[in-house]
Amino acid sequence: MAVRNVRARILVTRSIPGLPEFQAPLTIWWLGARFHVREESGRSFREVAEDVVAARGFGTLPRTVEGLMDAHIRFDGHVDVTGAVDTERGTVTEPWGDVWKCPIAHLTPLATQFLAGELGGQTQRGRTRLLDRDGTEYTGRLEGTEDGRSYRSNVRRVVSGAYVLLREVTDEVGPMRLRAEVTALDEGAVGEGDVKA
Amino acid sequence: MFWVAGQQIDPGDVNLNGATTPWVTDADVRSFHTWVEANAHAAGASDHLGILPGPTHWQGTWLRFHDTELNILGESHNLIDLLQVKGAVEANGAAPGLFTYEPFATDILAAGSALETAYDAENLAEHHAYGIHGVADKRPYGGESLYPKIGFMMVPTIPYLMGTQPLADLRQAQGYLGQPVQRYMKLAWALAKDVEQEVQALNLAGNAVPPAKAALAQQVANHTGTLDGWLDVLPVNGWLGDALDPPPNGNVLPAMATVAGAVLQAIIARIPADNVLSPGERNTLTGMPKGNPWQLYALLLRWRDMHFTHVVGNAVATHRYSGMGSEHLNYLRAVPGRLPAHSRSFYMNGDELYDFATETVRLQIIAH
Repeated sequence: MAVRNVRARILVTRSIPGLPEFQAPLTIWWLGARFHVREESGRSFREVAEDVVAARGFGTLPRTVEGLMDAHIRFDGHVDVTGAVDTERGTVTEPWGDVWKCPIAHLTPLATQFLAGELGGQTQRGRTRLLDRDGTEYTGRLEGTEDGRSYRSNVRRVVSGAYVLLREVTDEVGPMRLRAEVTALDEGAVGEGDVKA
Repeated sequence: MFWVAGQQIDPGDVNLNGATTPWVTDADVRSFHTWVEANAHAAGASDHLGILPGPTHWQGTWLRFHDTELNILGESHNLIDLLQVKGAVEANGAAPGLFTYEPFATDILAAGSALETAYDAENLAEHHAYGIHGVADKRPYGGESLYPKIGFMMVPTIPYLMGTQPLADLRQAQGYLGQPVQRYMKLAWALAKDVEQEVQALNLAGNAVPPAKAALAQQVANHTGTLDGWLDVLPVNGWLGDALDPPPNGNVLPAMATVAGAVLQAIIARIPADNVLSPGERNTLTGMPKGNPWQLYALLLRWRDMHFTHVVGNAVATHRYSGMGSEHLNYLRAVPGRLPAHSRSFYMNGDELYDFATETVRLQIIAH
């Protein structure tokens, strides 16, 4: 099996009422089992990771005035995350310069977000074309309760081969939206220096 | 699972007593440096160790803070908050120590003032949750000044009131925004009414009235008939978008918009008189640009961060915990001297939390 060697450039856009809208470039490098993620919105690692793992699919949703105010803070800098799936911990460099070790399980969702994995629960909708590639559109839902209220987020993915080229989450009843679209996909472009911690 | 000095304690260990014996066989991880520390914890004589309660992904994590110094916690408010940490370190029966927390105000609010009444009503549930509802003077628990926060919330609120953002975004069905917007609009109106009273007193005494206060008092005079008895009696924790669906009358939105703008200006005008700050800090703030929303956010955020610096500096000798958003902890850690001597800081959404979790998992894995 060929060693994975791919660089994905992703544009993450998010629109949440009351919060600053942002378009954040995100780059992910994979070389074998090693990865490097760089996100340039000026948010903390925790915020960036929540874009991928938050239950409703929209990243961190502030519920208090303190949280709302925090969401307006941007640092001059970017988050770097490096690691390897066969190790216990990776390295996080926060946009304000702090460097710390993190269990790898908390880092891999960020790094694998554009890799097509299990699509169970998703409904195949049809063929489409994106990034000059043929793709298949899948839709699904994130459902649950939060603070005693039920929610339903609609998720649309466009999958082409081994890659998720688009992940778009929309709130069924409101304007909240998060979109992560691969804007460039370069196989064989990653060198040792790209994934170095 | 019970560990002392890196060794897992087995049943029958001669150091065990009635309080510590159950720890040997239960599923939770507890790890102590010494038997003295373990026995003190069992006796409720320490408040720096504990098991993180749920509901959270990190439920069961063994926490270790400093045993005597001020522990400054930077949190993501949705993730793990000070209440959960207090629940962990006081679960052994430890007497609650003094703490400061970001949602609570440091300001002297005049007894019986509209702002004090509104602030107490809006924060009643939080005061109960933190066990300070019966405390007459809650300022020692305050994490920052209320004024920059009220000013900050006016900035994103005004566009909704002016119709340049959709009011529907402030409804409960659409998310959380409408709840803090309503809370802070009520506090802003209460502050405005207090300022009007102050201006009346100044006028009666023949004293000069600062222009920003005069302008705010005029807005109160203009809009009391529209807003009082409606805005101030909206339910605690309600959503402004729901209260405005439909608006009670056509005057409410423009009235709130002009009041919000005047409150923002009156709050900014307070900066030169903020005696908590040093002259240098006041000069820094007064010199910052204020021309657009992003500049206002930056100004009000810096003002807030300066207050956090003073709060932890004052708390270090008397308090055990200070809770705040991690972004404020970043500010404190960014420059030497902002964090007071004899304090320790912990990112409860990053570095230190993951260290706690990793160590807990490591002990679970190697346990026999």
